[in-house]
This record gives sequence, C-alpha cells and structure tokens, in this order.
Amino acid sequence: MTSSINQCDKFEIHHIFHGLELHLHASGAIWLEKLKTLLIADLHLEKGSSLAQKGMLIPPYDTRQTLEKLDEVMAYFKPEHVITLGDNFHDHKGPQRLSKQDLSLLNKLMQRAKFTWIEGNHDNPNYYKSQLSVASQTNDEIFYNPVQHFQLEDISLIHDAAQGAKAPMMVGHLHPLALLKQRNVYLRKTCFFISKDICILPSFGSYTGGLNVRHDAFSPYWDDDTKIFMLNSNQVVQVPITKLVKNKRG
Amino acid sequence: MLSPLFQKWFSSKGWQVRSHQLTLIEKAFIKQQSTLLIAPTGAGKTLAGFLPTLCDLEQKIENGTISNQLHTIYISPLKALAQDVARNVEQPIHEMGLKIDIETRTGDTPASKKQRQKEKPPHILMTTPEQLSLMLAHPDWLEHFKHLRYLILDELHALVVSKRGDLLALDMARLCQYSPSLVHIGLSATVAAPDSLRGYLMPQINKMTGEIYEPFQKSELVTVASTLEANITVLKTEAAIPWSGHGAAHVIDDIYQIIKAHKTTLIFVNTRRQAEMFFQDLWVINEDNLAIALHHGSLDVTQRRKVEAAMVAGQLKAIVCTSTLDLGIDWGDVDLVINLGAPKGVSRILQRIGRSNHRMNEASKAILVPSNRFEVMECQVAMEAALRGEQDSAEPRTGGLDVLAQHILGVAVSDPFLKQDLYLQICSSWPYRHLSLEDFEQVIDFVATGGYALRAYEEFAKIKVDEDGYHRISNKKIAQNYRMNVGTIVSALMIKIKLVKQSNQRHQPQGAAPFKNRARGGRILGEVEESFIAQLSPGDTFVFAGEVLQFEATYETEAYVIKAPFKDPKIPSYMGGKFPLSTHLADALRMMFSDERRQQILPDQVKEWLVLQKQKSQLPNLDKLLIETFPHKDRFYLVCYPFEGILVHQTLGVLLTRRLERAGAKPLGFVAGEYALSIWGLGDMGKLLENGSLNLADLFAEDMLGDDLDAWLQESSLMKYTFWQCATIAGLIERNQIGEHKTARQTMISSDLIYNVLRTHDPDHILLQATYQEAATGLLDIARLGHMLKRIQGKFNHIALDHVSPLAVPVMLEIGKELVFGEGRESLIYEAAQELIDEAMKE
Repeated sequence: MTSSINQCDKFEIHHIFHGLELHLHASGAIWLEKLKTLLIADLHLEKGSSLAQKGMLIPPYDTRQTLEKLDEVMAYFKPEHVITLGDNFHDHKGPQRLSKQDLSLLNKLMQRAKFTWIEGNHDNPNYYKSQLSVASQTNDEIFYNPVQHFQLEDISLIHDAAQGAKAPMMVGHLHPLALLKQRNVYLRKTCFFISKDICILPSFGSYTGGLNVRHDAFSPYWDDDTKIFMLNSNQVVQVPITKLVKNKRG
Repeated sequence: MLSPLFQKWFSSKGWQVRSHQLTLIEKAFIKQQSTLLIAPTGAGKTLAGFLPTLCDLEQKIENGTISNQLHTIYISPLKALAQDVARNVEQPIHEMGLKIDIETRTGDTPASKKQRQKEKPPHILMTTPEQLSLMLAHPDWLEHFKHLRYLILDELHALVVSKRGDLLALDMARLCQYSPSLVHIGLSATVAAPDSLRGYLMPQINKMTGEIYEPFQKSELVTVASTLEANITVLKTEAAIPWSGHGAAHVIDDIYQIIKAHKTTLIFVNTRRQAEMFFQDLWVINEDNLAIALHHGSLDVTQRRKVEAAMVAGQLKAIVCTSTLDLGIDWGDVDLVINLGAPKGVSRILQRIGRSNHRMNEASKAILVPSNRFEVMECQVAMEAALRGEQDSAEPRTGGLDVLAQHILGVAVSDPFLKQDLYLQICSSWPYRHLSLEDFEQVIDFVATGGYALRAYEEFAKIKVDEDGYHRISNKKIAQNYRMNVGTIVSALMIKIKLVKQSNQRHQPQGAAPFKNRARGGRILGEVEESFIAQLSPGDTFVFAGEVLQFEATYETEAYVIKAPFKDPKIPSYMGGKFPLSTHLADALRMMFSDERRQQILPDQVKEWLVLQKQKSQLPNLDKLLIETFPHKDRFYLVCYPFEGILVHQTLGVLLTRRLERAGAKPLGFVAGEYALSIWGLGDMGKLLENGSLNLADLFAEDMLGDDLDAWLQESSLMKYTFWQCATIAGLIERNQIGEHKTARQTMISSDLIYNVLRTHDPDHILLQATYQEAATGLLDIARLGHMLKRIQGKFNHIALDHVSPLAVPVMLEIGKELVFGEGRESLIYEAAQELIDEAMKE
C-alpha cells in the first residue's frame, strides 16, 4: 500500500456564470457575494425516517447533520437570502416527521436569513403533473411554502432542468457525481456541473448519493464549455473532463 | 465394542479398526459425551466422526426402535465437502445393508427438495452453517430438532476463527434448547490451543445456577498423533534469488524437473494472482505436455469440479492452487506438496503439507519455495518450526455483535423469546460467554428499533414485546427478509467472466449491445471482483483461468472477453490473499536475524546479503527495533523492521506519517511490506532525530493508538469497509430484498454516508462498537500493533546512513509497484487537476 499526504495548495474556485460570480464551496453550496445569497440543492431532509418506515432502520440523524452543515455554511458566508433548489424533504410528509430539536434548529436558521424554498419532485408527489400547484403539506410551526421557480436577475432557478425553464438556469435534481480515472485508480466524488447555460449543483443532504455526469440523464447539458468541479474533503477542484469515465455498470 | 456387523464390514475391507475410532465410539456413543477429535488428514477422521451415529442407528434398527426422525446433522464449511462426505458415508451404510437415509442440503439444493426435507427429514443431513441458520428460522424444523442426537462439526479449526463460527456457536446453543442431550463431535486438524476448541463444543452456562462455568467446560478429547515425521525442505537453487516480489519465475525450471520426478504434485500459492502467473509460466516451459491444472476460488464451479474429478482419478501431474484446496476433500495420491512464497504461519503450512500422502503410512513430503531473500529466511524458520511440530493457529474469536444481531432476529422469526432466557442461551456459547447484559440489551434494541440514542423509530419496530414479555417480529415480511439475508460472508460484488465468440466484422460499434448475440452460449470462466473489471478498458488483456483474455465490454453482471492473441497480459490484481505473517514466525525470524550461527545454514546469496547489511548498517535484533534513515533521490527515507506483517505495517504507516507531519518532517508517503515499513518525505528525518527535534520514543509511543488512531479511523477507507461488512451482517443494510435484485453497490444509501452520520451523532452506537471490535483483529490489526508498540517501548536502534541499506532494498522496490490504495487516493485528484493547469499554462 502506498499512501501520500496531500501537499497541494488549497483551491479557491470562482466561476463567472452569465455575469454572476459564483463562489463554489466545498459543502456543495454556491455563494453569490454580490447578492448576499446562498444557493443549495437537494437537502432530502428526513430521508432516514422515510426509509425507516419501509423497514430500513438507518440512523435518524441525517436531518440534523444536514441542518448543522447549513448552519456552518451560513455562519461563514452570513447570507441575507438562502434559496434551496428543491427536494427539500425526501417525501412530502417529511415536514411532519421533523423532531422538535431539528425543527427548532431550522426555525433558528430561517430567522437569520430570508429563505426561498423551491419545490422538487420529492416534495410534491404531483410535481410533474401540476406545475403551478403551490399548495403542499406544510407544518404549521415553520414557514414552509415552496415555490416552483425563482428568478435571479437573468437566471432561472428551478429544481429540474427538464421542466424547461428559460435558460440560463441553475438547478438541482440530478445530484451530479464524477468518476475520475487517474493512474488506473478510480475516485468517486460529488461535483458541480457547469455548462454555458446551465449550472447543476451537487446534493447538499447527508444521505444523498450521486449520479455519474457521464450518465445519459446529463447528455442534454453537456457542451464544449462544460466544466466539472469535484468536491474533495474541504476543497473544490476543477478536473479535466477527459479523465471522467462512465460507471462500468448500471 | 463394535457390533458384529461393523466388525464384519471392517474385515471385509481388510481394515483394522483404529484405536481412536474405538475411543470415539466409547465416548460419544456409549457414554454420550461431546468429543473433539484432533487428527492429521488421512487418519480416517471423517469415518470416525460418523461411527457413533452409525452405531446408534444400527442399534435402533436392531431393537426395532428406529423411527423416521432426524438423527444427525453434519456441518461442513464447504458445500463440496458436504457432498463428498455424504458419498463417503453412504458407502459403508450401503455395504452393511443399513436402512439409513443420508441427504445433503446446501445453497444449491432445489427448493422442492428443501421443502420435502422440512416435511420429512433424512436420518443424517449434511449441510453448511448458513443452512442450519435458515432451518432454525422455520418453526417446522424446530420440531425435528427435538429428535436430534448428534451434531458433527467438520474442519472445526477453520470454522472457529471466522464470523461463521460465531453464528454456528449461537445456532448450537439454540439446538441444545430443543435437544438438551445433543452430543457434539468436533473434527479438527492439529491446532495450537485444543482447549478452546473443546470449550467451543460445550455449553458454558450452568443450567441449574445460571452462572458461567469457571473454569470453562471442556469436551472430551481424542488426539491422533502423526506417527511419521514429515520430510520438509527449502528449495535449493543455483538461480539468483530476487530481492523482492512474489513470483517464482527464477526457479521455474527447478520446479518443472521436480514435478516430472513425482507422481502428483500439489503446488500451493498465496493469491489467485500468483496462481495465474505461475500456471502461465509452467505451461510456457511444459515441453512434455504434462497434465498441469489450475484451481482457485474465482474459477467457475463446473471448471473446478472437473479439475477435482481429474485429480481424484489420478489423471493430473500437478495442480497450481490457492487455499481453496486447504480444506477437506481427499485427493488420493499426492506424493509432493510445494508451497510457493511466504509460508506465513506454521499451522497453515502443516495443513498444506498434510495434503500429501493421505494414507498415513508414508511420510508427507513438502518443499518450500521462497520467492525473495526475506522469504528464504521465513521458509527456513517455518520449516524448522514445522519439523518441531509447533502450531500457531489462531484462537477462536470473541463473538461479533453484528453476528449476534443477525442471530437475535433469526430467533424472533421462528420462536418468540423471553429476554433473560435468550441471554443465558447466548452466554452458553463459547464466543459469547463473556457477553455483558448491557451489550446484549443494546443489540436487541438495535434489532428492534435501530438502537439509536435519539429514539425516533419506536413506531417502526421490527421486534415487539407482548404483555408476557415475549419478543416476536412485528410482521411476516421481516421473516422473509431475514431468510434472504442470512450469513456472515459479505463479499465484494462479483462479475462473471464470459468468453464470447470473436467477431467477424473488423469495425464494430462500441459497448455491450453488439455482444449480446455473441454472448449467447458463451462459456462462463469464473468471476472476479467488480473493482478489477472497473480498471479495464476494452482491449486490455489479462490472465484468467489460465488463458490470456481480452476485455471487450460489460453487460449487467457479466464481463465479455475473447481469447487474446498472446502478448504481455495485464495481470489480474485480485483483492484478498493478504494473510499476515504469524506472530510465531515473526518471533522466529527476529531470532534468526540476531543469531549469526544459525544464519550459516542459509544459501550463500542470502548470507552475503546479511554480511553486507552488517557492514553498511546493522542487522535487526531481538531487543531493539532497527530504524534506518537515509537520503535517496531528493527524498529522505525512514525504514523500520517490525516484522509484524502488512496489515500492522499499513496502520503503523498511517499513524507515523501523521505524527511526522506534526513534527515538521514533511512526510509524503509510505509503503508497507511484510517485514518492513518505509516512509519518505521532504524533511531529513535522520538529521531531525540526531539533533533531537524528533524523538523516536515519542514517535512510536503507545498513545499513538489514542487520538491519532481515532482521528484516522474517521476517514479510513478500511474502517468504512469494515463498517459496511458489519452493517450488512447486522441487517442494517440488506443484501437482498423481496422482489428486488439489489447488488452490493445499489443499496439505497452508501454505508460510508451512514458511517459518517453515526460517528458524529451516536458515537457509542452498538454497530460502531462492533466495527471497532472487528477492526482490532481484522484488517487494521490494531491489537497486534498495540502489542508491538508495548514491546519496543524505548528500545530503538537508529542508524543514520548516506544511502539505502541492503536490507531496505526489498521494501524500496515495492514503492510505486502497487496501486495507490486507501488514504493516498485522495491526492490523485490534485494530480489530475495539476495536469489541467499545466495544459492551460501551455496555451
């Protein structure tokens, strides 16, 4: 076994997307300094309890871990506005399963900044059927009133790019993940996927995995300009797309 | 003591009943005592194990008290062995004209037959530990177990050192509940500590007092000593002995001549990769077209059976094989065993040697073949220890909490239990005799609701308690799921290698689609880990099943290959096969290094190497840990020689680099070998040690196993892998779900994510405890590292050199040879990123 300690410099990644300076953060969030706005995608809160209902009793701390991570990121950037890009809860009954403690943490976070919750397919079982239905299962104690879409200057913010908002778009939904092949070794990390007109954020939730950017679902979004930024323990690293490979299976 | 029928049968075969066979009849049949039989292979061990059963059944037939009830269960670690033994036992039964039914039940048995067995079991059932667990999960079987008289455990020494042995012990404790007077018969090869095996066969709780027996209860013991000394040598050769590596190309001609001079030779190697390489090498020089075959665990079953059949029929001149042939099956007339590479342990080598001359009337003959200079010394000390009959086999395990969780759900599935009763039953099994009530309750809690400090899942509980205190499963689906996930063998996802037809078209589209037609009727050669296939690109060649193959495409769980035009193959690098050197042999090696007189028996090349080492540096010795520092090509190196095996050296390497980094020595990486560990960096560690800014006592202090270990474990990929195994066995992650085909990869949430969350929010969770317990003895071997650190406290021998020493050469040659693995992988991202930056700068 050979092992080496990384001696590389820390990478600070800034990327200009349609005139807007994106600060790509290793947590998977995007910070917009000019607008004092923080973007995050795919929290999938209460995924643990969602699966527990089906008999998989996996640890129930995912919501807390995700909210604590958000807490840290908010403490660092001090946003005035937080926008989530959908799939806030793993299922539409998730808000009702929030523990008291998690609920109070969420309320605290929401008092520190304005929150805009964009709705995703997990949040609303009728997501793909009723585009404009805003009504959703809400919990009285928190202000949770998701919207379908939000406009940030020229940029449309929506959960799933396939819903066909006006480009340019910043979206979630796909949970991009890159498989890097370097010296015959494979590294699998979630990533930002940024093309000319679309920016796809990695998932922010603790129990969310990823979909390989070489998967067919990403093919409409690749262009000559596509850049991939992998999240590697506390750093964001742009990697050559020529080194990214498909999953060998499935 | 033998009935006339048996006496007649023995004499009809021209055999004399052996004294250990009679003793076993006396103890296990007449006195109804549980007994351990320790005997070398070929002593008629299996027949002896069945004699009490056969005597009892014959008596019942004579008395007319025979009934159609289950009488004896025989457990084997291998399916093939169960079938083989069934055939061997059927023969005397048939020849004596006894009306006794024998059947096998393994994973391959059709469901209809299993169903029939459940309705009407045979007298004697040959099966595996996993099948026993499955039977215990059916209420119908519990009725049959009430009639059970004998439980025979074959190859017990191999079972008790694994999690399968934990599960088996728990199942044995359950069987005793249904059949309190059940007699256990253990069959084992010679081991270092027979008393633990004797303890394993007995209940360890006094039923009257509910207390644990102190000292522990032991079964009866029957030992058959090997009457003949084995003839063991280390191969002498004129060829140059390599500095490092694990091949045997340098002595291929010697070995070929030896094979020719013997009737049938078994060639054991340590890994499947070595097996493939050596098999290829042999066939290159096989001018006489000797029948030389290959056998390892990745080959397709039918292929393996063919080789085994040819072996039994005496058609083969030699077999190159891995530990898959270590156990059981009788191979007939092997007159030579060759062990290629490091012996690793004395018991291990003795068991391999025992494969030759099964007849016991001739001495076993074996040749140890070292593949490098260090191994020459290891082979020498192993040979000496083997000739002295020393043993260093592992002790039975302390039972894993993950296995316990699986078992508790199994009990709840078929037989609702009271907590206190089950606790006593579990403590009566050897691996769990010291289980605390607190741990037990935590495991029950885990099975029921996940056992989380945040009690979030009470409403989804899998086990519910009724008013009378009985624990039972809350719905039927849980029983079905349990049955689909029984077992403690958690393996990496395997991909089948399928040989497809060559395409006629010169140009063809890429991908799997065009292969689907050609794949029809293709032959499955065997299977390999998915991680290996993932490394291949179409067109890559590798050796498998003794052929050079070209990888074409993958489709679902198959990899399509064609025969490659012979060229330099890319060799398979399988996981596994990394047994560490036993502590016994490690001690013997250190002893040899410090005793110049004993070095005189070594070959000249090795002697010269040691003399050179003594001139340039020093030899390792018994009292102190030798540490060398030297510069080499813009880097500074620190090499130490703990002789603790690769697992310990890996863990030590990680922890030392962390400490060196804090001390400002700027370490860059390390490579761990079986004997030595080499760390390199940008700081001159020799100078830092000499001017006192680095202190060896601090660097190797035992507190390394505190915070540093803890910090590393959070990130360690080996730890995550261990967690994945524990979580799967414990049932947190299901391997199979009803109506769905889930592969190892596709479980809904990656276990790494679960591990991270659990460590942060519930650090005392029972599953993490199970993981640490496993890591201490498993892949990270922390327990052994702890012993080593204690031993060397303050005892160092630091030599600052100008350049690499002769002894350091082997480990230096390993650098860069192996794939980057574990923690070092992360830095590869930066390497890739740097290439992008370099490219950008060019433009």
